[in-house]
Amino acid sequence: MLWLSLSPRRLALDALALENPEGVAVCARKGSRRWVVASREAVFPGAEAASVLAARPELQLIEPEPRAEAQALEDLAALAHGLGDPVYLHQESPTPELPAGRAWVCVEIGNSLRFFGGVEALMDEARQRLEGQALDCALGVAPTPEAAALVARCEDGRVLRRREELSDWLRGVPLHALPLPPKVRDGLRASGIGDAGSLLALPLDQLTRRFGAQTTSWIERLTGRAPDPKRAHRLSPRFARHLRFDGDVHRVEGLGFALQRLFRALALDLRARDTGARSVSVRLHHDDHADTELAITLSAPAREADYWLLMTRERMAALRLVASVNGVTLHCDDFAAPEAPQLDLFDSSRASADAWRETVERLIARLGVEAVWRLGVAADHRPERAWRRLPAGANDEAGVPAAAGERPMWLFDPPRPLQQLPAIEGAPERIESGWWDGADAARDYYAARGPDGSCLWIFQDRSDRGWYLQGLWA
Amino acid sequence: MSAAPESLRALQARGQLWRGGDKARVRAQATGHAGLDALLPGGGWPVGALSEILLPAPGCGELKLVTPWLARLTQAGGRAALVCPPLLPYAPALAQAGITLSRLLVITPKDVGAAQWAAEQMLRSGGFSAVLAWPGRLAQQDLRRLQLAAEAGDACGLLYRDRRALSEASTAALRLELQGSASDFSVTIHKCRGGATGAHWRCAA
Repeated sequence: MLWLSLSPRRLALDALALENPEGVAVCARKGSRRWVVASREAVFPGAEAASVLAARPELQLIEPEPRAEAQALEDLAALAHGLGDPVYLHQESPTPELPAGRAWVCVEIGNSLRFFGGVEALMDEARQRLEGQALDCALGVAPTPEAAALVARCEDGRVLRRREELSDWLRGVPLHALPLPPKVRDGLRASGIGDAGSLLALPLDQLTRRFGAQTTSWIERLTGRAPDPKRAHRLSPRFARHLRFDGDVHRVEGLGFALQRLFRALALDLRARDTGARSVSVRLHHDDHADTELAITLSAPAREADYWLLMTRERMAALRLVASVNGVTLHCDDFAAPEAPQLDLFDSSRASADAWRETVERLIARLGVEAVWRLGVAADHRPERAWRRLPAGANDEAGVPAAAGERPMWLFDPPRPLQQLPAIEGAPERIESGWWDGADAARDYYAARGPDGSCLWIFQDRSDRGWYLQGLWA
Repeated sequence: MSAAPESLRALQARGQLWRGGDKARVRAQATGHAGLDALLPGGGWPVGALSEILLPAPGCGELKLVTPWLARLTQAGGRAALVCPPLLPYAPALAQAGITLSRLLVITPKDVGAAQWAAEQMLRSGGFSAVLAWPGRLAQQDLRRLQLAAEAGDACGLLYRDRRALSEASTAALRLELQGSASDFSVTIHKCRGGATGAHWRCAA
């Protein structure tokens, strides 16, 4: 077993995706205590908020957002699903004892090394996928999940393949880098133990007696002496991500950045599921107004973030905001695998088909699905039922027409009653059909010549003897 | 003196001499009506350009004019679109004319501005070989935009317009006027880039 750990460096801060994260410190609170959890400034996790403010009054202290953190970790887990299996997600919230909290995602990569072409190639791939993600992560590889997380935290990019390598490496790890409760750490330090090496050299039963079973259990899981059962992470059946804005957004254009982030997360998730999405729902939240919901449906499933973004922008272009927006939610539960592109002898026709598909999607996004369609025929003798409206992207065939005489190119639907009978030309065609479905038609059709010379298709309804214009040759 | 025609021919072969009355090379797709093709430069609808079809009202043979071409185009795998048709295009008749219906898209937006937008998008995309649009009133700059889009997407754009638009100038490569009925209509060439204008062609069933 070989584990890759993706460890966010500043989860609480990065998850907020602030436009300007400089000069900001996220502070957690418990009782009367308030301490720094994450910041890009030179203030350390665990520092008392009051003393930090006294030293650096310009710092902006903000509250953590557990929901955003959970979502960011979900994204990270989705990314990890693309690297191996199983995936574990570990999260401990910040407490006074563990001031920065602890969160990481671990994935077993022993079975996917061959696919990626080695550990280094796999890590390169992981880094590439992490680019553009909200979370800034450190990577580590080790034989156990706990060790991988520790490696990532202490030495980003380090790879320890075997247990011997791990124990050698642990020897140099200082005590303060270990995720031990401060009491345990202080106790150990007081006993003259300054690094992980000397800690591991202690007899475990004595350690248990002195510091409790928790510490011993962690050491056993770290070194792989004891199994580390965890529940493997599973993707939820429904994709949902929410983004809350710092300030209100008043214009549709201002939503671009948020949508981009949400669709990137969706693309990651789709990749982990190895599928695509056919429809998504974008919900805009307003302060004192009901949510605006946009359902965006594609004619064929797609998985690329940019493609979805493009379609959503088209759709948004026609949107007028009813009120300022304070957050966006993206939902998706309509998953379907996109069609694999068929190999074509001619590249140009493939490019043209892609261009066609993309254009159709944009037309649908802007004009609505009812404005973009295809024609089909149906085996029915009644002219108004001999054709069908088909969705633009559907793959179903246009159908087989009923055998019939010559038909006009333009149809009047519904037929127009005629006040004046035009000059009839040729023999009638009798159509009697539909007595079984309640739309009974008994008609005699004629070609006729309008006063301006146009070629008309008219019929006489045999039930009410009325004359109607139904078609025009063009 | 016998050398002179020889050298002229050489110049002509190198493209340094152009003879008036020759039809310039225009990329075109045959309309499928042999008599009309003979009158048009390149022998059909110009590719990567706009053609205007001007008519007094629907029912002047405006579809009969294009169905042979659309049938060939869609059967060969090309894609076409009808934007804002004035009446319902009747699927059985189009199928009878040989058009592959699955390759023909119909766009029926609620307002005309959207029709122009849709036509422009489709012309520009490169995914459509033919876009037939009934755009309603068009300003000069709208025509120009559509023309540029057709050039960019290397598509044939056909605009059906009211014949009153004949009095306005146009950037379209080809302007045809239709008169008559579906059974007997005539085509007058009013403008023709790279060819002669004023010619008539008559199609009688």
